[in-house]
Amino acid sequence: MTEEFLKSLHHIVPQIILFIGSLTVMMLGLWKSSKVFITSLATLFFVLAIGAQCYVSEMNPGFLFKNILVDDNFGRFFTYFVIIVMMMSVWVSHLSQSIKGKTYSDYISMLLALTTGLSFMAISNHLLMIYLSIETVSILSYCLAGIKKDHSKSNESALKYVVYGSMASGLMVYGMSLLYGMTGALDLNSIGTFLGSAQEGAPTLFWIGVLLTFVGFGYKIAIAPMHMWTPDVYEGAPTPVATMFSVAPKAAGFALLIRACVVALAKGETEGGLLTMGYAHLNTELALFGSQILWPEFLMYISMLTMFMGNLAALLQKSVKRMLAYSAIAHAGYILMGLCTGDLKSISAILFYLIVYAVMNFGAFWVTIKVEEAKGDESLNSFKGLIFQKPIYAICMTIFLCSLIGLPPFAGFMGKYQLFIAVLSKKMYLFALVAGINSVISLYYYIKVVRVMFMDQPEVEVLKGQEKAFNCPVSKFAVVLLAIPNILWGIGIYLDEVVLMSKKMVSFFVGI
Amino acid sequence: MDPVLLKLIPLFAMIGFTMIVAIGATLIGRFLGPRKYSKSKMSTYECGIPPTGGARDRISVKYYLVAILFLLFDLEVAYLLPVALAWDQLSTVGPIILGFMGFFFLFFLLSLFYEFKIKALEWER
Repeated sequence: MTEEFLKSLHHIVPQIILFIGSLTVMMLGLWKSSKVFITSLATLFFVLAIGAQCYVSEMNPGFLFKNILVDDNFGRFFTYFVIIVMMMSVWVSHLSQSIKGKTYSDYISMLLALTTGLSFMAISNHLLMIYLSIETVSILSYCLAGIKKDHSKSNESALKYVVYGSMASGLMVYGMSLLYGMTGALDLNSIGTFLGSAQEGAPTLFWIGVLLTFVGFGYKIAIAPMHMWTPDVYEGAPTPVATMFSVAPKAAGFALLIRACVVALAKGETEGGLLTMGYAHLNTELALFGSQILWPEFLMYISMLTMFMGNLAALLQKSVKRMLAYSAIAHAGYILMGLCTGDLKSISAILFYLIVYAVMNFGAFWVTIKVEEAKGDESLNSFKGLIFQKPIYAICMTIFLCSLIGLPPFAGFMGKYQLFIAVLSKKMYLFALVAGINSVISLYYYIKVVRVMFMDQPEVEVLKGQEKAFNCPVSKFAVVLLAIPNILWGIGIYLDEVVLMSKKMVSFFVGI
Repeated sequence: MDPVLLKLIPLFAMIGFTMIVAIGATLIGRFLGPRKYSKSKMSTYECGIPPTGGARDRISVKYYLVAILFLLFDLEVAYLLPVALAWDQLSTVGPIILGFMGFFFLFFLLSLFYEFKIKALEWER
């Protein structure tokens, strides 16, 4: 037992490093809270964690701590992903001015602790651990949304988030208790075994439990019936925090959802304990009160609803931040497309899309942060004539927005192309049509920002005292750095490497 | 009907019966009981002494801060109990677990120090 315990500890070294980093930043911030010092300290811990994760990735995949956690390629991908995305968030927060002074060290400490929670979300394989990691992430997210204590909008968003989040996690825990009652097991593999051995399909209460648990996952990734919190929270939270919310917890939530769907709800064959591409099919029947629907089909309707909800609401937004929040909802719908085919092959499309989405969404939010700080707000009016004031921001913003639409010479197109191919290869033509219609709807509100930036004269001048920050060369460099992969992947340079990597990472350890 | 749901029928029956008894008892008291009001009966009960002040007093938010900090430490101490109870069975792993508890105490101390340092425990700031 001791040996297994110590062996398991080796596999969670990155998480331990991140946790110690969080404490170190919190304590050292008491004496020296200069921004440069805190940011470099946090970066050091992130780099150490990435190094430790490289070391962990050399080990054999397997269960840790008696099936509570699982270390496999899929979890490793998301651990790398969240660490890198959170490191980018720390730098974005460093360059923006919305969080400063004494709160900064606490803020960075919370970001590090949040990374711990997110990477545990990526590797948890046990309902209790899933709940624990989701709660770690949620509670820190509430604090981060309300980090500006004297800002009424920030407080409002934190309160809305708390109310919504506790409701969702309450429902999720209830669902988990039903799952435990029906199957007698808490780890996902045993639930999968139960489902496989159930003679006449699983009982109704089991499916109610699954749906309630799905509510908790859906709230983290902001899909349709559980998306209401997104615009309000994003609008009120400081923009660097909203940037992070739109990428990191979403990706980790997708990791959980995919793992739960594949490991617990799929009937698949394994090879050497690994469930890899092409061997599993998610065609489990969801039987509720006599009516029967396939689980992927159910996800398909959710995905369609999410796309329409996000895109139609985004049409009416005056604030660019709110528009990006609704676009984040719509993108959750697009990403869900990869899970609706019931085939493990299309999950690699999800992984690839998440990488692309991180780059383009960070870029779009980064320009929004700069404009908001320079002009006082981020409404469409502030973006008017940006090309005359700061051409580099206007051009890069156009690249990010075109990438978000999915126009051909940009990376977003490549991501969407893979998702569409995945759906079309299963002959789901109606679904592909709906997704195509939604891409067209989204064209309108993204291009509206581009039109305003290029065609109108500047209305709002840069505030006094903000010119220096607006001209800051590091910020310009950062925005160009984010724009480069959008173009490179769009025209096919380094694209194959990323796609192959995302294909390799779809491999789940399910035990022998 | 689902066999699992059928098994639960006694439970639902019990819930229903309990609700009928609870609501029924309240209603019977309301309809059948005699009502005699007097001034002292309607006044607020404050341990027998004459009530003073309004009922809607404001309480300083600092009380909540102290309460929340207390709750955190209370919870952390509660985590020590399972270790103490399972100590007999931890023959070989005992020292390792003890080491982890040491780490746990370290975090404990760090958080207490943090509270002192940001002056969370001082009443007047």
